[in-house]
Amino acid sequence: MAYYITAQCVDILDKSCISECPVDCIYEGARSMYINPEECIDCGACAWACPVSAPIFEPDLDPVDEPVIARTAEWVAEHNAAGGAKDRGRVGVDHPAIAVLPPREGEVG
Amino acid sequence: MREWRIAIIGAGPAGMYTADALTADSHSGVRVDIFDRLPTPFGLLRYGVAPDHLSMKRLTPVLQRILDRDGVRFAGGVEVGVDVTIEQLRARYDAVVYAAGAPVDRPLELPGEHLPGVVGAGTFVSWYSGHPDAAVPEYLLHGEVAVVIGAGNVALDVARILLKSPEDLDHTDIPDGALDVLHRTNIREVYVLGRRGIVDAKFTPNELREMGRIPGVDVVLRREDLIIDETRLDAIAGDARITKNIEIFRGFSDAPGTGASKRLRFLFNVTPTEYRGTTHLQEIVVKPSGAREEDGALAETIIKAGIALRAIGFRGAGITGAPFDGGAGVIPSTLEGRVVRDGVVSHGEYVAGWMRRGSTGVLGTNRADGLLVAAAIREDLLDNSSAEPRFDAQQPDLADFLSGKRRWGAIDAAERELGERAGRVRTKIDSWTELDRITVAPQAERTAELTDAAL
Repeated sequence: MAYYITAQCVDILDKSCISECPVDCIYEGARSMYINPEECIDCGACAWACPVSAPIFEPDLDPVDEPVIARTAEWVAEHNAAGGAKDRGRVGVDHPAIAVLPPREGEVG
Repeated sequence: MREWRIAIIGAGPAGMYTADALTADSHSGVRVDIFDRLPTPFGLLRYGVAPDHLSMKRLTPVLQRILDRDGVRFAGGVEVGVDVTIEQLRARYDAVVYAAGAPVDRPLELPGEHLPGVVGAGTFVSWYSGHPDAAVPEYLLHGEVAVVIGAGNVALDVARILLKSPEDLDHTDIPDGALDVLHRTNIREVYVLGRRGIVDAKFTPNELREMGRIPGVDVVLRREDLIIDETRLDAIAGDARITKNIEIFRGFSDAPGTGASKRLRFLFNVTPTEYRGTTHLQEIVVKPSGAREEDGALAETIIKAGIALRAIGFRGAGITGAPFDGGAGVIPSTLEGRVVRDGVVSHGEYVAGWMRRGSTGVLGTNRADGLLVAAAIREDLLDNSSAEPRFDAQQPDLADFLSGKRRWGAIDAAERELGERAGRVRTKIDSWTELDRITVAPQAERTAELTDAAL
């Protein structure tokens, strides 16, 4: 089980989650954050902290959001997002499925 | 740059996160020595997180990375207050951080509490978690019904382990001996009793929802327990955890029973008043929490059960030489984590984790605690140009105690090997005899005797 950061995060990148995560498993792409599902301890601290409720616990994912599981695993593997985000540093690149999304307009709710 | 030396008592999450906050900056010149009575670090992460909560155990490599730092040493198997005194530590370190947790189950102090079969949940948790001090719970063989008193996550953990089939625990790090005992039990019904209502329950939603997904178990909740006082609705609306819990409870109440052979029964707004039995527990008397004296026996319900576990919180145990508030079960402190001795802030003493704030929060809560205490230490010492050094370089280092990392490494490797043979990540070693057998060149490490002269 793990939490997954959905497309709610794209272009918001509030990053309150990072300081709340007790295992430092939230890594920075370019327009979105990504949780390493092998390191996540399911505590939900990121979900409480996020102003747009981007992190969702796997069993609570809407069917329409299910692609987040595969694309997160691919991104984490591709960029070796492991061993703690502070040590890994900012990745700075997104998964192609995120990169092609149109820019978010307007302000955070 | 001068080196600062800090001793942390307790290698559980609170102690480890404090060590993390102090040594994350490798150039800070801080050396941390962590003491733990057990040769195995990580406290409740190792001995409190349920064996089937595999995700939570992913915290282990994170804490291991902290322990692996050059600036961190581990005095495993060293009991502060016995093997080394607080006074000896305070003479050798600039600061001492108490992070020894809350190991004592809170008592309920009801008539009959002494009966075999009535225990604190902590003892059961310690046992299935492989703690070497835990006794085998013979009381588990006392029949088919168990009652868990308490409305927090510990109550849920205990109920779930009692109800799960041993097969469902097979792939976990639970010790082989514990699995054997669980195979011999025949528990079919577990009650979870909350003194107050569902709004006041301390469960967290993920853990509560999990209770509805135990194979072979139906969850039962009385409709009357779903009734919520109107005056509380505003408070609920503002609290995401409670709102989610209520949704889950409604789901439990609506779900049709499947005729499963095992049952989890929640009872809210009830207060146990007496344990009864002859040679061991046989029944528990329970009353509605608002019952009046004059209602007498009319208000009573009798639950026939041979097993009762109190999961109503934990208290700290004092360490000889450290201040202690026996009433609250904590070391008195300021909000920033500075220890208060006889009403005055004590220089060089700090407290973190459950020993400071009581048995509240979750594992991750200790990260904030560690940052808090480290900030106080920075302010008082590291960043304070006029800070008086306490560490006396003339005093011999307690180096003979500090070979714990290698010994833990050997125990860790042995557990992984045992686990591998059974297709698991690890199988915990739960006996002192076995733990003591695993040492690293033991005589060479500990030849120097610490006499009074040396100390």
